[in-house]
Amino acid sequence: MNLKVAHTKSTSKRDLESGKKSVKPLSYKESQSFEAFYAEVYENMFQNLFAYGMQICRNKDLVKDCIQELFSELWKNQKILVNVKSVKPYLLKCLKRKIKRELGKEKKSFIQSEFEFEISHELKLINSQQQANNQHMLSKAIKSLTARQREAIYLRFYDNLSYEETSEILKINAKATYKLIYRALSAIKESIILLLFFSFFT
Amino acid sequence: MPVVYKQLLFIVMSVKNYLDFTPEELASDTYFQNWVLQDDQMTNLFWEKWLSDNPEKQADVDLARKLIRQFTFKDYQASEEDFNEVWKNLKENQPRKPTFIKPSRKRRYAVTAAASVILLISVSVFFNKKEPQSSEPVIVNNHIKAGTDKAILTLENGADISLEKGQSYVTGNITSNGEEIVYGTNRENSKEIAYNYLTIPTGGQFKMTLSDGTKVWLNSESQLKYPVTFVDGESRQVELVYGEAYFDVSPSTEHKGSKFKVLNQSQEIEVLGTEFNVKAYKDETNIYTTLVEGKIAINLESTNQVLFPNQQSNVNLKDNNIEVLSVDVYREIAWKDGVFSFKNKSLKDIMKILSRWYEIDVVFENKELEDITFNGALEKKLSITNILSIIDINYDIHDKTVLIK
Repeated sequence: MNLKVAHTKSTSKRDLESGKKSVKPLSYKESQSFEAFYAEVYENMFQNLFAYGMQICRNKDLVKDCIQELFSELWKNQKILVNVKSVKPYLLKCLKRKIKRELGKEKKSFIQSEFEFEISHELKLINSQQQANNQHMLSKAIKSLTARQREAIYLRFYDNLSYEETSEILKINAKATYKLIYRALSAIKESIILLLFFSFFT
Repeated sequence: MPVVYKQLLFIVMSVKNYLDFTPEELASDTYFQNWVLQDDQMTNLFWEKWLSDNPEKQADVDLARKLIRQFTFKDYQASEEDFNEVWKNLKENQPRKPTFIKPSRKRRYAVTAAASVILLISVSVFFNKKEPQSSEPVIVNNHIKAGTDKAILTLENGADISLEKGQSYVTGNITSNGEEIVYGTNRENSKEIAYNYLTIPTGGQFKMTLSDGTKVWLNSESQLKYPVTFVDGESRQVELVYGEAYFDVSPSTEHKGSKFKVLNQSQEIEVLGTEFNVKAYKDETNIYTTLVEGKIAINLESTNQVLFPNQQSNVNLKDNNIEVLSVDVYREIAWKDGVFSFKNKSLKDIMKILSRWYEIDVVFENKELEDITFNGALEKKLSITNILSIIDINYDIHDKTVLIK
């Protein structure tokens, strides 16, 4: 294998201007050599896989080892990458399984706060006691979300998977994924409204 | 995207009656999300037109956008070295032709993984449903609530006063806001020592300040006996009748050198101004004393033992044997800060702790589960169903009984 790959840091970061990501699906083209496609997948997916893995276990070495094992298998069994319907959710799913299996070798543990998220910067500005209260309410609402809701949100909003792809990873149907996200959004709506409302007056 | 598909998409979006959508429905809609999150011309076109046709929806759209944008995850960036290292390993380990040789991976993460899971975090969540969840819990009449601040104060005349969050109580040198109780310093030097009791029921917790300024946090199912005021120059003495308490003792130097003592069954703790935790539940045959700061001596009938910070003594009440271990102090005292923290705790022990806070009875249908151990930290504010689903066990709830399956 003499292919070169280049690390692009921005694969998971949004375009700062618009906050949008451009999404190009990875798929194997007949005209391509497998080696070239393999390298393309590695280049495009490494950061995504790394970030997703870190959300699950926060252990850099473990994540890297699992990514390596995953790609090593993809090399040995080339049919997988060529035939899989959509590469990204498939790889995320495999990585999750590998990490979970490794973690399972430890005692069963539920310590990791998987898919932890923060309050976005625009709402972080506290300029009054009222806003501090509202923000506290929002953090509380956020904390009340379940890990599955967070994972669904991560995959759909942050990793830009479709509902179908997200549900493939969560092993539920698309409708249930929709419900997970809808309930999460409903749970935080009130506090967002308050935060926005008061920010007009200050 | 193929053109045909794009047109189809446009039709789908046009058919949806977005005018009836609430902001959260908009934010849950896949096409709306695509507009906020992705850069697709067709989607942009559709929504810009829709918004200019329905300007009254601007506020809803703004809110829906905020809802989606609200979620900011911690950004884990792989470094260039990480990226290159894995690629290099892949290249080195892979022959051109597929073979059955397994790449030699160093299994260094076994240790680091263990280290990483010990990390303590305020919201600890977990979605590890091993494959699809095998059964949905049956929940009948779930009245189970997380515990709150409450206690019963027994005065020297035997009167019981119930203290509860939201109710204040003031008498003599005692004031309580319903979350804690404070004994003021009494100027009068009474000859006779009057004792009060503070009893914390199941599902309760309370904080108190004794008349010498010593702070005590009391956990569920605990009782403390203490004098209303301490006699100057004599050793200050309280008794943890049963249960668990965390003491932040006002230093002897501020009290003419008088020592502070905590009695508990056969054990006496002698203190010179320090912070420590004592755990001696009625249904356990051990007393655990954990020292956070300073120095204390554990006096038993036959022997005594000095504890240093981060040490825990374990007195077995059956044979009065004492054992000293080094412990993770934060884990031991996390309860007073509203967190359950477990390390290698068996499910049986965990459920015992939970039963004190949630006032529940726990029945193990599957006895094998009693001994599986967990690491973790959970907020005491969480509901019992939240906690059980985080621990990821199968359970049913009938009234106040939790059945572990």
